[in-house]
Amino acid sequence: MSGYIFRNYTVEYLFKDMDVKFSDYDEVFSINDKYDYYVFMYFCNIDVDCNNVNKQIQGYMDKIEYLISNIPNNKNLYIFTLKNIYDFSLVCSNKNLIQKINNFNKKIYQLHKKYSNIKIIDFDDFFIRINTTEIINWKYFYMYQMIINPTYVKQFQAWYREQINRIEGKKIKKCLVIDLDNTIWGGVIGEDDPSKIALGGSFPGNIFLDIQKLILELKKIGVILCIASKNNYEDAKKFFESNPNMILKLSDFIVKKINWNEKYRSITEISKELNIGMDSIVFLDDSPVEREKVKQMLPEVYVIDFPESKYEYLNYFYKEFKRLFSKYQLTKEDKNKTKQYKQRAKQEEYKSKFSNYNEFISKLKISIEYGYMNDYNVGRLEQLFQKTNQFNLTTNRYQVSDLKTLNEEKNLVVYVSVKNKFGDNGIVGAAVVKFNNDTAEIDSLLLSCRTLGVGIENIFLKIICNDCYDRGFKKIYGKYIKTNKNMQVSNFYDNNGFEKIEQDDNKTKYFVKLKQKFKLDKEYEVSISGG
Amino acid sequence: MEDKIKEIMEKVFERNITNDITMENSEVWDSIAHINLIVELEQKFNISFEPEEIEKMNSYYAIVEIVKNKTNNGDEV
Repeated sequence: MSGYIFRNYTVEYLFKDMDVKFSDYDEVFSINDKYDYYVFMYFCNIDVDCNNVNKQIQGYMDKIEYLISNIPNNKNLYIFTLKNIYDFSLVCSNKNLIQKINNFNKKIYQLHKKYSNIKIIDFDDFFIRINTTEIINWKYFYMYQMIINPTYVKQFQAWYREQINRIEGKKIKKCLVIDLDNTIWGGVIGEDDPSKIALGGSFPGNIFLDIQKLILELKKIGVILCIASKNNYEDAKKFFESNPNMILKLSDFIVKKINWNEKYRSITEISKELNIGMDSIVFLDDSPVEREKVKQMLPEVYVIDFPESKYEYLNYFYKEFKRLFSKYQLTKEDKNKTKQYKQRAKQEEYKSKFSNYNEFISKLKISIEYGYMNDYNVGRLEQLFQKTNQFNLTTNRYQVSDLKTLNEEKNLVVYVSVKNKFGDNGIVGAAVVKFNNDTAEIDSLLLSCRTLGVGIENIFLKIICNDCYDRGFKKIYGKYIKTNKNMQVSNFYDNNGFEKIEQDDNKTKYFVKLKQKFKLDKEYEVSISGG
Repeated sequence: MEDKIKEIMEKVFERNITNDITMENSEVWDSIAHINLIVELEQKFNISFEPEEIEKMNSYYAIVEIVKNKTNNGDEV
């Protein structure tokens, strides 16, 4: 990924060792479209005369508008928010400059809403991170036009990489596993008098109340909450239900391992039950011994450290949570995640009641919608392409821009969304089909793991093949590219009537020639959306 | 001291250097590399150069001399 940075000050040192090139100062007219992404990183001029700065800010907006109309719209343009680095104002009530800056920032967020390839990087977030008011090193400023003190280069790079990962939906954790005693309340419920447990009220109960609120916020952005606590289940349940100050309810947690097993065992079970990788899990526990054991046994799980004093908890955890879980934007699916994982758990329970699989499926009243990529669902599709590891045949990590390019080139970018009697899962699967002369190739096919186990994957493949057939493509190729995580789909094409035609260590190619369309199983209700 | 300086220069320039390197005779030692080098030296030796010094630091030998002066004639830091 090579980038091109438009700038008005010296910033090369900030991007040291990264694959980026830089414009001349204040220059935007030499756009070369060979780069993968573009960055607009402008600072308010360091100018004693505020009026000059005011005027320049309007110029920045003109530049951005020029860039938007000249950068290919399948490539991202990251715009840094403007920040008032140094305020020379001598009249305290004069806030013209601040207002100008706020207006500028408001406008770029509007542009982000209008153009899906415009992404905003909130520069304030960096300055909060480095926790300083002394941003400028005046020697470097006057000698080299550097605004940010080079002491902060390492922190800047780490922060910048995080922002890009977040925007691209990469490396974001999915699940928080928490301990209970002395983590979300003060004290030990199995030992202490219930009235002595610190939660709410004054210090230190007010700290734990805030921690619970913070954890609940994570749930709202789609983080899956689970418990791994050494306690008697009944004690914990009773406390959850009887303490009026509890913000978190037992029902906020998808998997509750409240027992006397080792925590690494509980976490392993959670990972299996939710069908998510260990590297998606974050563990929060006040006991250094438990933390160390989990670190040793499950090195892929991220274990959050604890600050020394309780009154630092909220600040420390918020910063960690933000780094690990925060999202660039929320999708509909994020908001309903807990509900969906719960449905899955319920569904598993329901399944065991039926001896006959088909009977079970028809009782679930599954309805499947198949449709095509558009501006409204492309964000969700990107998320699926970025995050799906297990049920993913080729693990192509497409972004919005890639998907748009693919779609424009007359390939098919399709989705499947699923409802059943327990609720609406929304878009859970996607595929890309490439056409070439008289053949079709299924370039990507993936499904979110929370829908597996009810045959959606097979019917999705059949619908895709039928769609190809209707378009006149009867020869269809498929492929499986092995990764560390997608073993479960290694026989997917074999099981669906495709023939193996080529195989090496990591890649298997398949082929099928359709004589007629696949019959769709009558247990599912299938609808096709749009065209 | 000399070794440490050389190590820092090689890291910043991403290649092996000889003692006779100067800004004039080196392709990699451009103004951006110069900034990175000064920042790196200041941080590694925990010192701060004055602009007059920075302007003179355009060869390996000049850098060694100035850093030595700054750190009390080359005592271990």
